[in-house]
Amino acid sequence: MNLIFHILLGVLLTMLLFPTPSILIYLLMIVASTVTDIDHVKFFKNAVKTKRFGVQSRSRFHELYGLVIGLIILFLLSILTEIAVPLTIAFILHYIADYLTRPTRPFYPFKKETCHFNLYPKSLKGIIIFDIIITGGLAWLIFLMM
Amino acid sequence: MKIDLPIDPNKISGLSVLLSFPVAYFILKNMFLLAASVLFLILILDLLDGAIARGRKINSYQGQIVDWAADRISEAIIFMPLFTYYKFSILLVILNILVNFAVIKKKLVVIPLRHLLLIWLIYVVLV
Repeated sequence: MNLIFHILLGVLLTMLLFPTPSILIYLLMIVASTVTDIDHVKFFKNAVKTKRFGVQSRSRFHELYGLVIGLIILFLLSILTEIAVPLTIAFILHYIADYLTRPTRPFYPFKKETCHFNLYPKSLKGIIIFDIIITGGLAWLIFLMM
Repeated sequence: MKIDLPIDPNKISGLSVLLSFPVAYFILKNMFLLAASVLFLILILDLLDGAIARGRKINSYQGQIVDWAADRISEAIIFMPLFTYYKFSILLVILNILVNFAVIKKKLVVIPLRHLLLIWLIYVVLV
């Protein structure tokens, strides 16, 4: 999913999980919700050429491999601080949103097969419209909750 | 089991992932009967996708990967509300993903987390 969606998802989760969140908590939740996308930077040039971030632009840290590493780190953090639990939820939801809306390689680098749930359009135009509707819907939901 | 229905098995796997959100919500709100009902439906769908793929003779290794991925993601969603109460439940989700990494042949043995959760939910509802 696009970066704006992940940021909005972080904001929505903060609103749902914290009664009176501070700016710092908002920032931490947004970071947890978007940190996985850092690996796209490496593939940005290629994505501009092909006009999309395909499965090739997802490193191992963007698949279940990265989820496991992230969960282990957050589990260890949860022993020290309570905020690690909501951060874990934000972190996991990034992967879930991606799996439901984009083709992925869940067991990369061990298995290279692509996974499609076929719940989303495959053409570039279709993806753009789909992204606008989903992201707009999420923004509208946040607006209603404010 | 083979079922010949004109439905895309991958979509059924996707649907089982989407249905995991209501289960997590119902667990969070202590609505265990509803959670158990939807979880039962998810497990039925989990059986159905493979059966349809075999019935339509479109079963493949890639389809199996989709099925495995759907199972692991579904477990992560369903166990999310439990993280708040039992942090160690994260380790069960991690363990199942790691087992999936280790599988080279087509046979996969993982902890049936959702089945165990269903048994626990039924126990909580009945007692």
